[in-house]
Amino acid sequence: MTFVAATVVLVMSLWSALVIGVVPIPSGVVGDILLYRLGISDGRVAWSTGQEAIIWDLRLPRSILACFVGSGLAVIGASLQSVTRNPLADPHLLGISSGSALGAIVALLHVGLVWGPATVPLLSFAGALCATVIVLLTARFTSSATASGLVLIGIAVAFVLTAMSNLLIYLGEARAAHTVVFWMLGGLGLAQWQHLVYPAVVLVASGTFFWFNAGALNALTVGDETASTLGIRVVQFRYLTFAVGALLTAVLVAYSGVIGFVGLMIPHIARMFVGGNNFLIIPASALFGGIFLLWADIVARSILAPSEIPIGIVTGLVGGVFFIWLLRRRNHSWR
Amino acid sequence: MAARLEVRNASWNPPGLPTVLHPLKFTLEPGQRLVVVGPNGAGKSTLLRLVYRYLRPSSGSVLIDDTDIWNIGAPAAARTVAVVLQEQPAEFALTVAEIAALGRVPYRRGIVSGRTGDEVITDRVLRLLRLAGLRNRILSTLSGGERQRVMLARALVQEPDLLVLDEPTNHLDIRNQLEILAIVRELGVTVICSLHDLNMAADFADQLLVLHKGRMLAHGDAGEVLNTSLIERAFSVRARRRRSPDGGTSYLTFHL
Repeated sequence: MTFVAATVVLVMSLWSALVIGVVPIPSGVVGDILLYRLGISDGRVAWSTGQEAIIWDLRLPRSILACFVGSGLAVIGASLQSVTRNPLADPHLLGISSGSALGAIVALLHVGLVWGPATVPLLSFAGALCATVIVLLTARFTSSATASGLVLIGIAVAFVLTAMSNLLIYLGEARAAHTVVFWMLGGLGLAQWQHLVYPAVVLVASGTFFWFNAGALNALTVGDETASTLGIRVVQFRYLTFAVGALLTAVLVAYSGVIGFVGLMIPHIARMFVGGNNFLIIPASALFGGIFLLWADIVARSILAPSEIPIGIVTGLVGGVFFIWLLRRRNHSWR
Repeated sequence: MAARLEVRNASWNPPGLPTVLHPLKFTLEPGQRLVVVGPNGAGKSTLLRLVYRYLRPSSGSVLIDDTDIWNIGAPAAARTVAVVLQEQPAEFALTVAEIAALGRVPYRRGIVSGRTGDEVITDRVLRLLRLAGLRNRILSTLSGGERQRVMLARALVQEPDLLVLDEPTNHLDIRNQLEILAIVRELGVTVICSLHDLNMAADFADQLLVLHKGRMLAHGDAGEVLNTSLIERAFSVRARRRRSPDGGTSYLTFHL
C-alpha cells in the first residue's frame, strides 16, 4: 500500500518538476513535448524550440538525476545504518564524500578541466574511491572491524580530507573558490542525458545488492555475534556493504556534489512507514529519497528565481529541523 | 533430530596472548543436556564460542556428528547449531515475527527469503513459545521474559540439532527462568548451556562441566560433580548441601 502510494507520488513529483520552473510551461504542452520526443505522437509542433529544450534537455535529465541521487543516497544510508547498527550513519559520514569533494576541488582549482567537462566527475570519483580505500586500510591497520570502529575511522578520515580541501580552497583563487563552494553544497544543474547512464547502472546494481542482502542486514541489527551464528561472515559482509555503498556514493557525488541529510533521514522516515525490516526499508527509502530530492530541487531553483541556490542548503535546513524532531520523538517514545 | 557433539582437546588463546581456555574434551550424546558452570571469567563463554563456530580452536577440534565444524561452511553450521546470546537488537524497530524469521537466513538461497516453508516454520515456533499474539509487536516494547522467548524463537526457527544457550536465564524473574528451561527441556535437541544458579543447573543438566580459570575442574553426572569441596574450590565460597523438608531432593546453600 505504502509502495503504491509512494510510486504514484513519485510520478506526480516528477511531473511537477517538469512543469514548475522559471519559465512557466503549461502541463498540456509538457505532455505533448514528452510524447513527441518519445516518438509516441508524430504530432504537429505547437510549441517553441525553447520550450522543448527546457523540458527535454534541462528539466527532464535534471529531474531524473534528482531521483537517482535521492534514491541512491537513501538506500546507502539505510544499509550503512543497519550494518553499523548506528542510526546516524550516512554516506557522507564515512569519509566518502570528503574524498570526492577533494577530488573536485583539485579539478576546479588546480589542474583545470584537463579532460574536458568530465574532469570534475572523474576526479571526484577518484577521490571518493581513494577515501574508501584509506578507510578500509585504516580499519585493517587499527584492527577496527567492529561497527563503531568503522564509523569512527570514517569520521577521522573525513576530517583529514576536509582539512586538505579547506587548505586548497584557502590557497586558491577567490572567484574559483565560489565555484567550489557551489559544487560542495550540491546541485543538479549539470545533468545531461549522456551522463545519466552511469548513475543509473550503478544504482540498479548496488540497489539490487542491498535488497538481495536485506536478510543479512536485518540479522546484523541484532548483533555481530548473533549474525555470525546465522551463517553470515560479518566482517567481510560489512566491508563489502561499505565498498558497494562507497562506489555508489562516489558516482552520485561526482554528478551532484555533496547533498547532505538525504542518506541520514530518509531511511528513518521509511522506517516510520514500513517498520524495521530492510526488505521493505530499502525499496521504501529509494522511493522516498527520489521524491524528497525532486522537491528539494524544485525549491532550490524556485525560491530565489531566476537564480538557484545549492540544493544542499535546502536539504540541510529541512534535515536539521527534522533531526531535532526525530530526537524529541525518540526520547518521548522511550518508555 | 539431535546432534552428537564432541569437543576434542580444544583450547583457545587470542593471537600472541596467554591461553584463555586450556585443552578440554567431552562428548555429548544426541539429546543430552550439558550445563557449563564456573565463576565469571572462567572461560564459559569462550567454550560456547568454540562450539558455535565463532572462535576457531587454537588447538584441537569441535565435531558435530563426527564432522569438524570448520570443515563445513558457516551457513551449513548455522543450519545445525543455533545460539541464544544476550545480544538484543536496540535501535531499529524489528517486530517479533521479523526477528523470529531471521532464523531462516541460513536457509536462504538466491533471492531474499526463498523457501515456501519458511513462514509455516516461523508460525509454528511462535505458537510453541506463546508469542503468536505478540507477532507484530516491536521487540523493545516487550518485557524481559518475552524478549528472551523471542530470541529463543529465532534460534528454534533455525531448526537446530544442537542448541547453545549463553546464560539464558539472566535478568529474568524466577517464573520466566523456569519456563525457558522447561521449554528447552521439551525440545529433545542436544543442548549446551551456561548457567549461574547451581541448583537450577543440577536440576536441568544431564552432564555438568565446571570451569575454573580456563581449565576443566570437573565433568560428569550433576549429582556427583557438585560436591561442596569442589564448589568451594571453584567459586571460593562455602557451600552446604541441605535436604528439602519433604525429604525428596537436596539443594545447596552458599555463604561467604
